Amino acid sequence: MKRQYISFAFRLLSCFVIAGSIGESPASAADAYLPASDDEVLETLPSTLLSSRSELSSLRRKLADNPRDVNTAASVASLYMQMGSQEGDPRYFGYAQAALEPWWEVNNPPAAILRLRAKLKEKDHQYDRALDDLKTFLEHEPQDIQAWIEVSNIYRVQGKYDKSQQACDRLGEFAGDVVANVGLVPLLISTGQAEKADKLLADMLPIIKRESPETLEWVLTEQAEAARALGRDEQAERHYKEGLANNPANLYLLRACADFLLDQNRTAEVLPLLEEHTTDNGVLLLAAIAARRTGKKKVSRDFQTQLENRFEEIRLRGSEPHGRFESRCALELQDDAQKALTLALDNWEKQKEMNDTRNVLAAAIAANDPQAAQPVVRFLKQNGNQDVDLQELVEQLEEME
Amino acid sequence: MKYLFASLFFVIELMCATAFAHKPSDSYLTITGGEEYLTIEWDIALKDLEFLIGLDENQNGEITWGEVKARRKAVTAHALSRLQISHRGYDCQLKLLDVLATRHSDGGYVVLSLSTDCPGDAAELTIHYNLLFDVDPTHRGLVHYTNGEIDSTYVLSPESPLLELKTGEVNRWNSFVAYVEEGIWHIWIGYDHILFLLTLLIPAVLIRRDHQWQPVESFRPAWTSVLKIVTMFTIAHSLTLWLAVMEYVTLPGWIVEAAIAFSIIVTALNNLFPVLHLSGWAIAFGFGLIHGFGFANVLIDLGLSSVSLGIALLGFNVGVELGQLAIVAVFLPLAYLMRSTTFYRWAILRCGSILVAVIAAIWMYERIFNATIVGL
Repeated sequence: MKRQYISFAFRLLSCFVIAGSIGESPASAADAYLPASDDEVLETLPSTLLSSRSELSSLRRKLADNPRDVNTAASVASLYMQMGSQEGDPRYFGYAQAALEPWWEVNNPPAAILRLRAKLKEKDHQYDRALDDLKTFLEHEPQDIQAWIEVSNIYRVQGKYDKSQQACDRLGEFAGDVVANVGLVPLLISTGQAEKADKLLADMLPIIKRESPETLEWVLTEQAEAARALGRDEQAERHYKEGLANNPANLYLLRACADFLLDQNRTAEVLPLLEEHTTDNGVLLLAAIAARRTGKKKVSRDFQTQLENRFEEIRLRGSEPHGRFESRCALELQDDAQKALTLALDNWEKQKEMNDTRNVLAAAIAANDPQAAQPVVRFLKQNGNQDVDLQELVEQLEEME
Repeated sequence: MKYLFASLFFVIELMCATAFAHKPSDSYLTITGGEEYLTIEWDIALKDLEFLIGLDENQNGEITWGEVKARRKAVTAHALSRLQISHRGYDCQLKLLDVLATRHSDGGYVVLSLSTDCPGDAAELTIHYNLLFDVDPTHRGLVHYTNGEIDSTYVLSPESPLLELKTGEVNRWNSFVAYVEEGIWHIWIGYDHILFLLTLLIPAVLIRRDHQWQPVESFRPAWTSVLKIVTMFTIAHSLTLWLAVMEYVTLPGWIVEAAIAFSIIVTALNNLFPVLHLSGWAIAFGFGLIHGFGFANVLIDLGLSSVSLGIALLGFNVGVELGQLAIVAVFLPLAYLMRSTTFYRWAILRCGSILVAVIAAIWMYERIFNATIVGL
């Protein structure tokens, strides 16, 4: 408890730092230097930016002439949002937000704007606000598939499984089962019905292959997740590998697969998988953990410093780093179980996905504080969660009491 | 069917919804005082400059140093049109001295090194910043002012693009106040320091005669005794706080924490069986040395590199003393009034000390074996 207070005090002070009375020199900047040659590459631009460069520049010119043109603004915003998602670089979400600026504070903007605004708010983890926008949007377009899937997904991330289920039901009413399953599958995996999810996915697979091959990656990811939750390790591994063969740069899959290998104690395989993608904070975190567990002290310290610098730069601008990553960093790299527990619990208030839950359980075990994880354990039981990795932690916690 | 799947593309993307790789866009404006004129270094992300004015001349997706140099005039012109720094109503003339490169966590940055004609000791600066705000509402300008011992950071946003920067003492004072508050806060939340102090202070309103505790006759000896104890505790913990923060002596956290618990046990036992033949102030001094290491661990974790060490140490210490004084101010009058009662000698001095010793023993066990018994 005392440590918790102290860590609270640290956070208080970090508020001071942000409020602007005292501060480190601008975060982690390396010293300014004079590049040795004109050919030195200082930055690589996202490939999406290159492929849509001419389209973007003509759209941006058009938007500059008429900033209140709904269609142009929506096109510019969605192009930048795609870029942001693919690159994992939020600055492009900022550019997208700028295109929507005339409608950003408006109560009932045109539907096309609402949809994008909801997405941007969701990206910023403002889930309730995103839901408000999506609901307004669905009043205009009650049969929009994507909007219903997003509603279902946000509710699931928040752990409001009933509401998530309701959204799937609404979707099924007009869009048919296969589409409704897209919302349903992840929900089933979170609520102890991974077996059913697995079966649905197997049924969907041939249809998806034929009708919507771009969705295949999603199917493979969910198949892997369902198999992992069921403890079918070989099957999970096969799906992870298939998914990564399909798209080796899928960050979600990379992180999930790395987590899986870490759990299997196959640590040596993790670094080669992640090494090229450490611009992503989640990947960087897992790479640091893998390096540490394989005894590569220097590499691990390097990665850890990079990660901590990123957190610090985020704080410096007055935001908070993602609690999921920060908590795990505290637990596995900084060896500060109390801090990890506090961060994990804070984060769990907002998000209740598998990794968020797992962070709380693991931190509570390490901090020797099974009481702290009680609400989370209760939540898992209430929702019939049967994820083998989570159950193992729950059992450990119960033995401690 | 095709129609139904048309929008499912977003699903995949949605799964990455919680994956923030980097931070949104920032620029870093470092203003350095202390010399004859202010100097400025301004780090701007290459990706942002590509967006603003275009750098990738050959359109191959890679921004090279050569391309940056070729666009140096355009970069400077754009940047300088978005930044005004004035001193007492006079707009500082910003001139480009040099262009360099650097990296932050989200990629490559150009560094504009600028000279100004504003005095290096300017006490008040007005900074008006609007780089990128019109094209990226999530952009932030992070201003860092540095001048010898003074260091301060500010965040500029579209909502507050204007900064009245008071350099000089104001910031030093703010830092000092922040550390004082931390010191008070730490005493307030650090039960073990409070308990140690109270255990030491309980016998201060009594006097030992013929193996018996007697109440002191007047306020003066009680007050002198308290003053001695608090002063000695202060001197001792200030000493080790300083030694530890300067890294002359470092001890592992758990040893310090366990030793602090041990100090409480000994102090409480000494109230019951005064075998140490030491007066309160001597115990306060001896164990104060240990408590200083505890304070140091807190102070170090607060991040000392950010501010002048002197200010941090002094501020934190003053805070700790204020916290202690608050405890004394409440304790002493009450103890003095109750000193002749049997309740004070039995319930408070004896039972209280036993209770304290038990609690501290539990703490000590917890801290050594990293276990939780009472959760304090």
